[in-house]
Amino acid sequence: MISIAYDLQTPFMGREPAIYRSGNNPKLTTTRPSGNSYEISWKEQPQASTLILIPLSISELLEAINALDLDEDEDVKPTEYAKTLARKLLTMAPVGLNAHFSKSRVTVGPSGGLRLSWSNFDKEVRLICGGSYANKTYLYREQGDWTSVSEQKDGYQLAEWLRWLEA
Amino acid sequence: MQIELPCTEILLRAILKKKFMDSEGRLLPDAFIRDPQHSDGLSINILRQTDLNAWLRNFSKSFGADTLHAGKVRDIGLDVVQPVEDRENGSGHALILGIPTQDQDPLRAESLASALAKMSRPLDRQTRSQK
Repeated sequence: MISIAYDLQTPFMGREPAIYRSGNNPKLTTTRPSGNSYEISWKEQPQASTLILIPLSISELLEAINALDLDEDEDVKPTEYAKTLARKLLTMAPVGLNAHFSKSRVTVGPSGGLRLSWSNFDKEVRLICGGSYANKTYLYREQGDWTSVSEQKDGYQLAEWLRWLEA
Repeated sequence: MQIELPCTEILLRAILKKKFMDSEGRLLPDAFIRDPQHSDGLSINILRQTDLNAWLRNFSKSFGADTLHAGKVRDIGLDVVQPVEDRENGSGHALILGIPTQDQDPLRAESLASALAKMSRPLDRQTRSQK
């Protein structure tokens, strides 16, 4: 049995971490021995690179992306390219992210791309993942009439803009 | 050939996905992102030329419609026109012109989508399905 303990005050500002599993699926158990800590244990040694601790709403967004394939309201399904890119950027974003997320949404955009957005009062951040190499992937943010766009495909930039959203 | 619509015209935007609305039923910017497959512009209908129920029942699934004021759409630099064939066949269909696709101009596509969502007003929130 291997265990790690996470203090809920950092880096997730009181939000319980969620666990994103890719590749092998370690047998995980989670316990909360005290109000401020969270313990994650697994019976088998996972590859370190496959286990990422992320804020719960990112985990929910990843699940929401997977669920789009079964969503009857979505006539056009997201492409594998868009889903892979979104997962990559989302799982990179929590590194160093010291904020929890407010309202988030995901829907299928033109050409099977993905449109993810987060809002907090008059601020909004959007991550648009193109449906293919031929389509643009970008970050957009606005506050009132002020708008900005970045075509950097970078989870760290997403994290920075989400911190701006929460500030 | 296209006919310029007067600024007093009230326009309709169909809601074809539930996810185009927030939890309080307000239309989101995603509803105003132009699909590059529709090269002519963003599809709308003209309220006074449209039988709302029949129009929304024509879609395989719809979740209601919002209204927009043609004059306000022009105020943000867009144009509102009706193709002559749509006028002649009485469908009430019209177009908002000037919205770039996400690939053409991301900043303008997103900011215009936000502006259109802010100016749109809920008219109908009934779910209709052909099934």
